[in-house]
Amino acid sequence: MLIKEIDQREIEKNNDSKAKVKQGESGLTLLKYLFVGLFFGIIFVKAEIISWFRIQEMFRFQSVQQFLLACSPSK
Amino acid sequence: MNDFLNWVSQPWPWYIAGPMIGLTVPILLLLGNRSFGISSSLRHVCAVCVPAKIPFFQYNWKEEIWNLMFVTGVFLGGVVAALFLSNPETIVIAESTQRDLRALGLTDFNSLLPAEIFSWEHLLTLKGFFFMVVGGFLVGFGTRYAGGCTSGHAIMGISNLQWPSVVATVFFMIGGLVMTHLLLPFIMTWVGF
Repeated sequence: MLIKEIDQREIEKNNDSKAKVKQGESGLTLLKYLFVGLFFGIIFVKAEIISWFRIQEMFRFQSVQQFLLACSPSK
Repeated sequence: MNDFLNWVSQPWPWYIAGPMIGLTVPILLLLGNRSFGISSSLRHVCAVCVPAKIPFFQYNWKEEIWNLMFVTGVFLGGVVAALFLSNPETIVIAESTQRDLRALGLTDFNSLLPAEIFSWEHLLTLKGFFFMVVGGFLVGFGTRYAGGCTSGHAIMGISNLQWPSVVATVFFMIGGLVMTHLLLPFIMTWVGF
């Protein structure tokens, strides 16, 4: 019983310290992710990646554009 | 300024967009050691909104607010691109694709999406409901079942040499091929094209 309690406390303490290490980003510091997302959304629309027609071209193997797009980031 | 606007209004070529997408992975890692992904936001939204005792939603979602910010940014980016940077010319789709899609009943090839399927007025008809609501549900369910969408698996996962992500991406492709070549002709007839 006593050992269990101590174990429990030990676990809680560990959880606490882990949480402290991981926290630290809140409020305005999170805005940077909004901007990365903004940038990302613009690319997806401008490169026509989200186009239903482009996706159809890809699955019908009638255009290489989507394949080139998909392969270029992994460089 | 006008020259610049004309230039950004054109569709961006793959050799610009591809590396820029690739750069998102290291940018997020450098900014806050975050792994890039989009569909996981669906789980976070559920965890925020449905605090019931469902084990799948019992985690510290406050740690994942960055992901919701990121996805909000993606949405706003889409809005900005569509409102201010959109291409005045019609999209150039391969002749052969247009021919195939005409055979399925589509006639309008002027925008990024076929207006005959994806538009507000069609949302509550069988066409729109099937493609947008049923399709959207399947995408949402499938990405969570696979532990990630094409962004998380194909961009982040494969960049990190994750074997499960390769498997997921291969099957995303197989799923798309089956839908395009085997199911789509039946679905198009069934919804009334």
